[in-house]
Amino acid sequence: MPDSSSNPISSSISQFTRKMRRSQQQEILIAKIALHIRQYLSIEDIANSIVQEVRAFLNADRSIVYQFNPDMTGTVVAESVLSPWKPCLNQHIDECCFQGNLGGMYREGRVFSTSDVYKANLHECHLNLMEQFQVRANLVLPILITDNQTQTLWGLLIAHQCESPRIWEESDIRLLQQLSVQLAIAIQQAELYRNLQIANLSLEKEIGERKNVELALQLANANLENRVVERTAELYQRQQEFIALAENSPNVTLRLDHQMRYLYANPAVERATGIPAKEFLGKTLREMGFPEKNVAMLESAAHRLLETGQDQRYEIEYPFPEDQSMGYYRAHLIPEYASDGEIATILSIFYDITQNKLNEIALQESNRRWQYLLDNVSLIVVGLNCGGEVEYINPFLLALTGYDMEEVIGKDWFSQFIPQIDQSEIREGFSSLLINDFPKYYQNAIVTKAGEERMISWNNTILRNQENEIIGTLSIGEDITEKLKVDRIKSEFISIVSHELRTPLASIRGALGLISSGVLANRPETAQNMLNIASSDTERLVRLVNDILDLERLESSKVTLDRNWYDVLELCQQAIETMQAIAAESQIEILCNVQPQQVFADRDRLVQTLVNLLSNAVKFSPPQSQVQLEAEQIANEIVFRVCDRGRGIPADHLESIFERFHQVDASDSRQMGGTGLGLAICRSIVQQHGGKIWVESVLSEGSTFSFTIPHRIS
Amino acid sequence: METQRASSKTILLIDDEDYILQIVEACIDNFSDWRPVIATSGDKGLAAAAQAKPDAILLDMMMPNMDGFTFLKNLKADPQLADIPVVLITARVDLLEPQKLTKLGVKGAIAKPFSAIKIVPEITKILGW
Repeated sequence: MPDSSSNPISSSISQFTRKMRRSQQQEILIAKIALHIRQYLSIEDIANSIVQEVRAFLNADRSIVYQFNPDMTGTVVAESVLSPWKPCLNQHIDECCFQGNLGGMYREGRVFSTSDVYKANLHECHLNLMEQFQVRANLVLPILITDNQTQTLWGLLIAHQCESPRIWEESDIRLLQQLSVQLAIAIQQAELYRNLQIANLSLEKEIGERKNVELALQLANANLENRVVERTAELYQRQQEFIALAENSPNVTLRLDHQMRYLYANPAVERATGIPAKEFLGKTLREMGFPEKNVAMLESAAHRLLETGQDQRYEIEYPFPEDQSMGYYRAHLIPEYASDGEIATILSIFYDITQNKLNEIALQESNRRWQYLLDNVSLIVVGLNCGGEVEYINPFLLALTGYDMEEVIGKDWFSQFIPQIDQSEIREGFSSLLINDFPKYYQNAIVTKAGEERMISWNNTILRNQENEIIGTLSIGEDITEKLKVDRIKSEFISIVSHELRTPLASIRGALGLISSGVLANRPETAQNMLNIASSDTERLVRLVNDILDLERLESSKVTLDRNWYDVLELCQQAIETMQAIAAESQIEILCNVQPQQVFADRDRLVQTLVNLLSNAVKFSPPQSQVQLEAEQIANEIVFRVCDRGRGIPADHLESIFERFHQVDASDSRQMGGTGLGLAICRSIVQQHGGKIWVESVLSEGSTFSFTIPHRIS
Repeated sequence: METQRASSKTILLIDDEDYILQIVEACIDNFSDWRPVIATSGDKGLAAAAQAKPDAILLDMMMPNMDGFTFLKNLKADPQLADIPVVLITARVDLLEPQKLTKLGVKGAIAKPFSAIKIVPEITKILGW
């Protein structure tokens, strides 16, 4: 077998074969590396794998993958380096040459190879970098990523020979070029994968979040369900409580619809009506046959409620079922609204106010009785507040004073009713005594509307409220004006009678006392005079006692008149005859101007009257004058007149002279021999006959006493 | 006759009743040595008091026109007469109470009908004579 080395053909063939084999190995290697790096989905793994493969295949001292940042600085992201050469993984490289031309020719796919850095005429900063990494020869290929026809410089695939210079073979360069392409594809694939992963992660995250939201929703839903359950239970409990409340309420509680039909009735309704609650349901009060008054009041109140939307209240009565005694209720109608704001139903509650009502009725009755008493009693009743203003005044006081109710209510009592002169004293007394010690009894005058004073005897009570505070006074008074007048007259009368009786008694006793003492034994004239005095005043005393007793009998109606028809002229002549002697003594002429006519009278009493009047006329007539007696029939009565020419009677005595002992001049009774009772007796006799007596007089000219005797007492 | 008596006191009698005046005068004449002066009304009594300047006045109360009350008022109003002691002789028994006498400003009172033999001692006692 020929030696191939010695044979050119054989040598060529051998060389070619070697090349082919190497080429084949390169192809296999590339395929292998391509296959290998495609297994990886992370750029780190791909880069690490490729630097291992490249350094081993090239038998280089170092192989690195360098990745550019956007500012064209960069970082060694993968490295395979033999010992003892300095590792430069993760080294950040700030290569000025790259920054200046944005990667320069590498963008064009240019390969840069240097067999010896010291002979390659490198930029100083580049050379420094090489020295920093102990590089003697290097081979640099760009990693270009193609996307939509655009190439982007991703990084560099680099092989370093550190120990010595090295001439890089074409095949090596081509290999690296192919690997850089494969690397670019792998990187692009990895980036796609990473983007996919990111998208996937985002999707997973979103799914996770949605699951969380769903969980939260489920939780919230569960909570809500729990709360609904709790709330429902609570509502149920409260509803039960309310039902219990209504069912056990002592008040009759009912619910009505718009047609007044009962939707609900509590058990209290049976106690009040005797009708079970269930019988009310679905019916109206009218349908149940309740009294018309009850039905009408309910319907009326319900209609008002539906019209106005306002609560309605009224009072109604209905007999208790057990004994038919009357029960009283206060009804309260309350609107119940639906969710749409319209009145859906009417709640009606009836409160039993029977006891209050009975108390109120009793109180009213009591008040009515008191009011009736106050209104009708013949006593004055007046209520004052603490300020002395009239709060109550009874009709009797109004009638007495002549005021109307509205003229006095609220007015000041003191200024309106108390005489001016007493006002300040009584007002001060009222104020201070109200605080200290109110006098229960006192007397004071009040003034009527007409200005008349009336004396009132008061019985006072202080009024207090429930807190025991004084709120005013209530006074009951008796009008004692007339009583005081009568008392005064009586007192005066007794005084006069006493005087009239004691005076002649004094004369009689004194005269007789002197005689019986013996001191007048030697004075017979004086003794006689004393006897005359005693005798005269004894006569006077007898006349007085007779007249007093006569008047007393006349005025107490103990005398029964013996009336018959008599001739007036005859009676007049009898009277004149009786007076004739005295008249003649006084030189008085009595003229009689009387026609015969009949009078229906008590003869003796009528003559007594005429004698009395003639006697007075004679006594008060001047000597030589005339006294005239006349009688004439006017209508159904006889009118008698006795006229004198005496001194006359003052006008203010024309009435009073007919009173007992009311002579114009008190001394007349002694001087004229009268008792002071003659005219009072005349008046009494005339009045007994149903007639009247009066006097007309002109001072210094004379007086005419007249009296009438009717034929019959009407 | 009167001038012959040694009259120690003058006493003024005022009464509208003539009989009473006569009797009282007779009592004084017979039972005392006083000199009686007579007046038949309040008016006349005031004039007599002013003129006679009596040591005492015996006064009736119930008289027409000027009664005893008015007389006393007038008497007290006259400084010349105000101090003359007054004894009432009256049928008004209600006036005999000591308070009323004090109020009227009189020394005392004798009620009608009086005793003829006791009237002078009573006046003497009342006036402290």
